[in-house]
Amino acid sequence: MTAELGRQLQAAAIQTFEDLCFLCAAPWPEAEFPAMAAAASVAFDGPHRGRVELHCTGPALATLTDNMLGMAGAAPALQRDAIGELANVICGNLLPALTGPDAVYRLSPPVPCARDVAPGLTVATRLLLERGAAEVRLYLAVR
Amino acid sequence: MPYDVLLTDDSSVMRRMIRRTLELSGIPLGTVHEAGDGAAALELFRSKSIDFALIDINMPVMDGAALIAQLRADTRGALLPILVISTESSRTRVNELERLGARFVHKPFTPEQLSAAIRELMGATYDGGTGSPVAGGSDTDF
Repeated sequence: MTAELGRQLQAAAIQTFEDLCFLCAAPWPEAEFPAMAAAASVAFDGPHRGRVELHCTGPALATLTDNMLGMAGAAPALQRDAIGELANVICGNLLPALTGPDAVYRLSPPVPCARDVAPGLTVATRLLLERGAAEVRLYLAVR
Repeated sequence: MPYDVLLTDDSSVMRRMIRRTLELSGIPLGTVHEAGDGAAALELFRSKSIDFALIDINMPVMDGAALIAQLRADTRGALLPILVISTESSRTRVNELERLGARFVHKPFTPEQLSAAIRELMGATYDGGTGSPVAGGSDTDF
């Protein structure tokens, strides 16, 4: 189940980056992974409870934000908003993979989060983006 | 006739994206009123002239579903064209929103998908250049 969740998480992230940011993403190809510069978390509650975190390198977040807005040089406040919204969209698109299309979940507003991997990580996916990298983490709470 | 729009999403980046798509859609625009939550949107609706609304679901203070229920309970909002733009993936919730007469666009969306949904919501196809309706379009039904 974890491997399938990983695939669904990756698919949700890739689709989100493509549609909202016009950016192609691919699985990260190397063992070494760059340090992340920013992160946002979206908690969900329903048949399952947990959170999805999106972590990005600085250049990747700048590109994602600029592409969403159709501008260059978006301010840090807009980048913080963008990473939160992207985490929100990825989370919303992952949830049907947990319990099917009829389950109802409540999503909390995105919040900044720590960059360290917290205990209880269920699955993560690392992606290569134009000008950087991103990591998406899923934490599922044990009920 | 230019349309006045109520745009509600707690993400300012998303509001900017949607606004840009609105401006490029070819629909004649008047004023785009923005709100970051359902309560602020309701205040705008009650004080401004609004021709259609674009609404997110997951928002603080008052979520989109509660906002839509309040709009529908208002005489002016009973037939207001509403397009929900949300990550909401639950078929149960989407059906509930559609029963309230709202149409739905799922995030992530491409600009083309959103633009087409907005034009369909307003029941016309615009050629983008002249802003005049062209053949086609469908009635907005609630």
